[in-house]
Amino acid sequence: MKSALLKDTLLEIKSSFGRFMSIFVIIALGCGFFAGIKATMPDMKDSAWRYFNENNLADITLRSNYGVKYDDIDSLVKINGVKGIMPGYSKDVFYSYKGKNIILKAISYKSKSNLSDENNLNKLVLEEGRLPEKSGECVVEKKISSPDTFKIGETLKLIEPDETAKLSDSLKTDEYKIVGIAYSPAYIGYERDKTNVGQGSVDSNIFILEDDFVSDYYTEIYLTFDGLCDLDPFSEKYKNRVSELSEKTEKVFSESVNERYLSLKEQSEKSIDTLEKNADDYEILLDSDNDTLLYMENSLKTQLSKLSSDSSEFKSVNNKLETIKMLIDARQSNNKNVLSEMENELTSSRLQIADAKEKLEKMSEPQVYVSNRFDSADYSSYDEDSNRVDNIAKVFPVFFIIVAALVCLTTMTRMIDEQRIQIGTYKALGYSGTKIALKYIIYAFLATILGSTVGIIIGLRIFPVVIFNAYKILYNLPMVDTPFKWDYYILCTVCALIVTLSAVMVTLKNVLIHQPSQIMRPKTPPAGKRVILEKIPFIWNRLSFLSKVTVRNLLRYKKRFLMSVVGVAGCTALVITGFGLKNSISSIADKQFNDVFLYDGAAAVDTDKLKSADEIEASLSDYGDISQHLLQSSQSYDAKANSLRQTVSVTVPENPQEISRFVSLKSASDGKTLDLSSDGAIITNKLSKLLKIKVGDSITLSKGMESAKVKVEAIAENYAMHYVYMTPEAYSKAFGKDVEFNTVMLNLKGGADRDELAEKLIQSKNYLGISYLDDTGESFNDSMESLDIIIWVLIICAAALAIVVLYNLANINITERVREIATIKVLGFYDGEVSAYIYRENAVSTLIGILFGFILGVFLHKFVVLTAEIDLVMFDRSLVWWAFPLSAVLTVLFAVVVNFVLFFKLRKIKMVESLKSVE
Amino acid sequence: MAFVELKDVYKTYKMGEVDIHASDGVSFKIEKGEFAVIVGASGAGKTTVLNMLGGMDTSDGGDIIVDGENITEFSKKRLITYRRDDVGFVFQFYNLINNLTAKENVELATQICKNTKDAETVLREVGLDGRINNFPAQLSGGEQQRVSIARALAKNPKLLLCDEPTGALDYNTGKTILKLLQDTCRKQGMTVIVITHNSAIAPMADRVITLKNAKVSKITTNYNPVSVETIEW
Repeated sequence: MKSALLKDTLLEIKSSFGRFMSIFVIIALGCGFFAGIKATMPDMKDSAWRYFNENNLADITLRSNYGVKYDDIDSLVKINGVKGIMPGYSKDVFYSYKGKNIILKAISYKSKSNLSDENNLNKLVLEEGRLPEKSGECVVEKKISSPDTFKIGETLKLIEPDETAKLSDSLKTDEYKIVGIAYSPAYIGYERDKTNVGQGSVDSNIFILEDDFVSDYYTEIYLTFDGLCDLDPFSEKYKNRVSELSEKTEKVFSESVNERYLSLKEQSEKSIDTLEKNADDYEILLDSDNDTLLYMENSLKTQLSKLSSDSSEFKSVNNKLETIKMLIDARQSNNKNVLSEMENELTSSRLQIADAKEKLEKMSEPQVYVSNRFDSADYSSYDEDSNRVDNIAKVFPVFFIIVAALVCLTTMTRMIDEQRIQIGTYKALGYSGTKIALKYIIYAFLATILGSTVGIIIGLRIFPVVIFNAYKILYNLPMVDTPFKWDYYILCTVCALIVTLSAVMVTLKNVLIHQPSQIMRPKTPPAGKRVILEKIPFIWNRLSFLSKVTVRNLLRYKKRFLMSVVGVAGCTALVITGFGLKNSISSIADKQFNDVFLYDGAAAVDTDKLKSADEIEASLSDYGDISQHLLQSSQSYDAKANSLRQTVSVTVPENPQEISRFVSLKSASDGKTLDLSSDGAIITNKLSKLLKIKVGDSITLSKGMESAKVKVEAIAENYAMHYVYMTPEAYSKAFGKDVEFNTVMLNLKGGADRDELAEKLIQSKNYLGISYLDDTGESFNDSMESLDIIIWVLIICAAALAIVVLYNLANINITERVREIATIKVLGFYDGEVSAYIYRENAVSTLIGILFGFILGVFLHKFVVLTAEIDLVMFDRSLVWWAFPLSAVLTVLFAVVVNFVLFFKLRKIKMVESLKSVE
Repeated sequence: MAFVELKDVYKTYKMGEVDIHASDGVSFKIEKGEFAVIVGASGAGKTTVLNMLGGMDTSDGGDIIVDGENITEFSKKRLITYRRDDVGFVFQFYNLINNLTAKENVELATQICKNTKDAETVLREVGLDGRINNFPAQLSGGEQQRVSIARALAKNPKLLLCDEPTGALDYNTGKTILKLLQDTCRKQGMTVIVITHNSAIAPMADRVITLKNAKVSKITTNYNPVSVETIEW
C-alpha cells in the first residue's frame, strides 16, 4: 500500500512535472534568497572572528608619550586576565615614489622563535613570499593604491621625515628589501593610522624585524585577554568587556608611566642640583685669592688622607684639589690661556644647567593612549556593512516568501481541483480523508523539501560570497567561509512546509467535506458576475467586446490577478532599485568631482622647503598654466561627537572668500551658498548625519595629542568623504596655533599640459606631487564599480521572480481554461486571436503590476540607498528617471519571454478537448 | 452534386506501436437542407467523422467536399476560416464561457464573422426571450444548450454540426432541443448533422448514416421523417 502510494505520487510528479517544478523553483528561490542573504552577516562576522582569533588580534593597544618600558610590561602582566602581551616598535617614515613622498609606517615584527604563540599578537598573514628573517628585510601590504615598486625583490629606501633628526637614530638601516607581501589583522580595511608627519595619515604599513629598531623604549604594547576570543568581536558583550578592561589597564599603565615620569623628573632635578653645586664651587674657587686657595688646598689634603681612595667623595675632593692646583699654577706662571679657559668652562656649565632646567620645565605630563579594535574606523564599518546586508535581508526575502506562498497556494489548489474525480472515486471506495490527502501531502512535501534543500545549499554558498566579494574592495580579509547552517535550513524548510502543506490541507478540506458524488461532479466554476465597471456605462460602452471579456476575466480570478500584480510589481520594483542604485552610486563621482569640487588639481606642498604662505605664492608664479590658485591646509583628523567618530579632512583655505572658485559650499538643506566665518566650521552633510550633529552643535577634532572643540556653523552638500571647512582664524582659535598650508588648489588655463605641469612641479622639489580631479573621480568610480554585483544579483532575482510567477500563473490560467480555449478555436479564432484572448489579461495585469512596481520601486530604492550606503559616501538619494522606463521595458521583456513559451503551449491545445466531458 | 460528400475518407491514429483506424474508408452524401443523423455505438468513429467534417482535424486520405470545396486540401489557416464562417457547432456540454452572459456568448462568435445575425434576435428565436442577459450559471441545462445553438446559428453557417446535443440533458429537455434543431432545419433550410448513439431518433431524420467499426455500415433515406414529438425512447 505504502509503496503503491509512493509510486502513484512519483507518477503524478512525472506527469505534472511543470507543476512540480514551479513549486520547487519558487521554494528554492524563496528559501535560497532568504537563507543566503540572511547568512551573509553572520558569515561575514564569523569569518572575521575566526581570522582575528587565528592571528591573535590584540584586544587593546597601549601607547604613551614616554614609550613603553620593561617596568610597564611587568606591571601590566600582573593584571588579572591578561592572556597575551607583546611590546612593539613603530616609526613613521617617508618613501619617495614618483617624486612624491608617501608616508609609510614601519612596524616591528617578531620572528616567531623568540616568543610563545600566546604572546605572538597581530600575527602577519603572509600572502606571497616569506616573512623577514634578517636585518634589512621587510614585507609590505598590497593595496589598490600601493606603489608599483611594492613587489618582492625591490628595495625600499626610507627617509626620515623630520629634517632635524637622523633615520639612523631610529632604524639600523634605511634600505629594506621586500621579501614578501603580508597583511596585519589589525588593519582590515584601507584606513591606516594618523601621523604627525606629512599630510597626516599613513599611506601604507611595512613590517621589519624588531631588531632593526634602535630605541631604548618600545612605542606600543599589545594585549589580549582571557575569554575575549570566545565572544563575538562585534557584539555589545565584547564591547562592554573591552571597555571595562581598557579602564583597568589604562589605570595600571598610567600609574606605571607616571612613576617613571616622576623618577625621570627627580633624576634630572638631582643632576641639575649637582651640576649647580659644582658650578657654584668652581665659581668660588675662581673668585678666591691665592692665600685662600693655599689654605683650602691644605685642608682638602687632610680631608683626602682620611678618605678611602675608592669613595665618591674622594674623587670629588681630589678633583677640587686638582683644580686648585691648576689655578694656583696658572696664576703663578701667569698663564692667561689656562685662566680664560677655566672662565669659559664656568660659563658653558652655567649654560648647560640653564638648558637642563628648560628641558625639565618642558617635560610634558605623562599621557597614555588606550585603543581597542573599535577605534579602527574599518573595524566599525565592517560591522556596520554586514549589518546593512542584514537590513536588506529583512525586506527582500520576506517579499519572496509571500510570492512563494501565493504560487504554492494557487498551484496546489489547481492540482486538487483537477483531480476531483479521482479524489471522489477514492472517497467513494471508502478511503479515509487522511489516506487520500497523503498523496498530495507527499507531493507538496517532496517539492518543498527538494526546493528548500537545493535553494538553501546554493543560496548559502552564493549570496555571502557574491556580497562579500563586493565588499572586498573595502576590506582586506580572507575569503568568507560559508558553512552550512542547519538552523537556517530547518527554519526555512519548516516555514516553507507550513506554507505549502497548509495550502494543500485547506484546499483538500474544502473538497473532502463534500459527499463523493458531489466531489465527482465538476466544481462549479465561479459564476459569471457583473463587474463594477459595467455600472459606469460611460466607460463600459466604449470598451470593445474583447476588452469587456478581459475585464470580466481579470476580476473573476481575483486571487490570480492579485498575485500576478504582486509578482510583476516586485519584479519592476527590484529592477528600478537595481538601476536606481547603480545610478545613485555612479553619480556620486560626477556630483562630487564636478559639482562640489570645482578646482582642476591639488598640489601637495613640501612644507620643509616652502615654509610660509609667501614662499608658496612666490613659487607658483613660475607656472604659466595656472590661472587661479588657493592655498589651503588639508589634514586628517578624528571627528567625534555623541561618542561617535569619523575620519575627516580638515580644510582651511588661506582666503576663505575665494573658496567659491574651487569648492562649491552649498547648504545641504536649501542649496544656498555658504560662507565660512571665523566662529566655527562648515561640515559636510553625511558627517553631520553620522555624528548626529546639527547646526549649532560642536564636534571635537583630534589627532595625536592635539584636540579642539569646534562649533558647527553650517552643513554643506557633499557626496564622498567627510570635510570640515574652517577659516585660518577659526583654526588658530580652536587649536591655539597657526595653520600651516600644505596644499594648493589649482585651476588651469584651457589647453594646459597637465602631465608637463605635474612633472615641473615635482622637479622643482618644492612640491610632493599634484593630483588632478578627473583622475581622482575616475579611480573613485572604479572602486565603486564592484557594487555592481549587488545590482546584478537584484536584477537576476527580479527576472527569476517575474518569470516564475508569470509562467506559473499563465500556465494555470491556460490549463484551467483548456476547454474555453478549445471552444474558441472551434468557433474559428485564428492562432493570433486565441493568444490575444489570453494575453490581453496577462498584459493588463503586467501593466498594472508595472505601475504598482513604480510606486513600490520608489520606496524600495530609498530604503536600499539608505541601508546600503557606506559611511564614506553619500549616495544620490534621487531616483533617476530612466530607471522607470528601463524597468518597465525589462519587465515587459520577461513577460514576453513567458508568453512566447506559452504561445506554443496554446497552439498545442487540441480542439477535441472541447468535446470532452467536463472534468 | 451533393452539398456534403465524404469520399473514401481515412483517419489513422498511432497509439504507440498500434495503428488505430478511426475512419476506414468512410463515404456518404448529404444534400443541402437535410436533417442528417450519424448513429453508431461508442468507438464506431462518429466523432472522428465530425471532427474532420468540422475542420477540427485533418484526414489521412480521401476527399471531404462541402458546398463544392474540398476541405482536405485546405491550409491550416483556410481551415480556421472555414470553421469561422461556414460551420456552426453545438457541443454536448454546451461549452459556454461562464464569464459571459448569454448574449455575450453569442457575440463571441459573431464578432469574428462576416454575415451574422443579430445576437438578441437569434436568442429570441431559440426561445430565450427574457434570459438574454443571464450568465450560464443562472440558466438550466436546456437553456444553456439553446444558447449554444444560438451561438452556432448566429454565424449564419452553411452547416450545423451537433455532437450528442442531448447527451447531457434529461429526456424531455432533450426532445425540445431536438425539436429546435429540426425546426431550424425545416424553417431556415439549414443543413443539420446530428451525431448520436441513440438510434431511436433516426425516424426524425431525412438521412441516417450508421457507422460500425470505423466504416459506414448502412445509409437510410427517410422520405417521410416524423416530427420529434411522436418519437418515444
